[in-house]
Amino acid sequence: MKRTPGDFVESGLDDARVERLWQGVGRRLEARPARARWVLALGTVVVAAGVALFLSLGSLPTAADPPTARVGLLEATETPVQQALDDGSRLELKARSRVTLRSNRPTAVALELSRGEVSCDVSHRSGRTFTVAAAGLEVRVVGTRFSVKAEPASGGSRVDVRVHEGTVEVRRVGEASLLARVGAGQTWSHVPELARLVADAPPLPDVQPPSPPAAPVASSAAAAERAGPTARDLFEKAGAQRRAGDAAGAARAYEELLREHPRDARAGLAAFELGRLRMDRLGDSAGAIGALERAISLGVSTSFREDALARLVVAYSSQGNSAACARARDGYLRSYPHGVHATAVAASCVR
Amino acid sequence: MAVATKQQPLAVATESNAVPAPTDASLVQAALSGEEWAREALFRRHARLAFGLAFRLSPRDVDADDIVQDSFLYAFSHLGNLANPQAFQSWLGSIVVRTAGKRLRRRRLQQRLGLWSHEPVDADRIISSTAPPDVVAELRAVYSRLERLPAEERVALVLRRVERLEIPEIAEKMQLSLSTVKRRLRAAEERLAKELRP
Repeated sequence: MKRTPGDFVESGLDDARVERLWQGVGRRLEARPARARWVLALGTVVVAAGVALFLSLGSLPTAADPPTARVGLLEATETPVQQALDDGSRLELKARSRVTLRSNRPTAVALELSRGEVSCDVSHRSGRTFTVAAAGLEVRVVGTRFSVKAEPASGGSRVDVRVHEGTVEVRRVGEASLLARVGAGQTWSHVPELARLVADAPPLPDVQPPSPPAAPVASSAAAAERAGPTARDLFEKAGAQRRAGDAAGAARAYEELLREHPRDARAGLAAFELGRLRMDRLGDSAGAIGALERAISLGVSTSFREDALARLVVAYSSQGNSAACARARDGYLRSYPHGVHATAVAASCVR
Repeated sequence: MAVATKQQPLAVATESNAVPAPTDASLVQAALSGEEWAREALFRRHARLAFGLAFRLSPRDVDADDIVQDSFLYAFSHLGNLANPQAFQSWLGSIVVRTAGKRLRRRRLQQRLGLWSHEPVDADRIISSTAPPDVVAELRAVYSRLERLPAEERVALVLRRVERLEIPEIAEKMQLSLSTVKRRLRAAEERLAKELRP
């Protein structure tokens, strides 16, 4: 195809800038649809939401106000129990549930769920923190209706967070990095067996990448004189930094390899390693998604593809992206119905 | 209560290493269904093309950034208006052109009001070192004097001389009649010719 003069205008756009542009678009998109969903939930679909809420929560009292909870242990035996909090929020403990109310101040409410399920109708108050801890996770909300359920599972406790209105964030207790952001109508689950896929995965051995094809003869002076490290240099540098514990440095080296040598034979493996680093060491599940998708599309070798697909499921789930998580999950199960992670993957995804 | 519904797979995973990518039409439909990942996929697929066009229309980084972001936001907000989902790229191009035009008109007004002062475009900074000499001359002729053109003439001129679009294509992108496009191109060329006269 004949080139136009426009093809010779250099904009200087790089991957980092594309990423920043998307962050800007993403932020502005979030600001709009969240309000729309909230208004929609309160408006035309309030009947459907009310029915679903009734089915999932039982009915919250509308006549008499529930008793105000005191700091300490709250327990429901055979029947649900409702409690009011000082900040105007309401709790409902399902049957056979136990919650410890650690703080009940107008500026801070903190609950710890040790058994069963608690539903929270949280009043909107700026400056007030409202948290529910369960099995080492912390759900933090403002002005939202949601429920948290913990039940024994293989390897620990399974935690399900279901949001009916608003948005909640999930973190590990005592940690700042975000595990998931769950929106209205979504359910996020923590499955211990699948979480160990991320936490306990052994470091990859230093795998030799396939030999790259012979480099084509440079057709222009500019290409022949290109300076900068080769793909091999960058791959080895990244491996050395990873072994030395410098995850950020290793990630930068992989990023440079992918940026400068996108068609090199190592690119698929570099993308996979980058996804692993972002996910396991850098607390960046969102960034891991792009790298893992790229690894799969670049045709990372079979032995890593299964792991990449399973990690995608975890990463999408942590982002609360139910549709993409389901797509990745179905893709994994179609390719690896008896795979190493099949059981855990099948039980995953925001619903 | 909104619950993620089961959806048709957009691409069937195969045993081969490469996972086939969804089409633009599939992504548009998924985005219309509220799938946020589909919007991001559309962005990542077309961001470079959109940025390149925005930059060529207004070769300042901050302007091009804003034009691209505004264009995608508009596109995502009006996806339902896209009659042919597979033509997303071309449709986005039209949005970029119109968004750039609006921004340039605003800049010109700010300039007249003394609220913004411009630096002339350094044509040599943005022309690739691999450009043939005739292309270098063409791009210098356009970009060294672009700032002096009214927004509408400037956009038409870039689409004609830099993008090498035909007049009907320019008319479609700018949503103008053929006669209006011809008139603006003529005016732009006359201004350039005056500038170039010794």
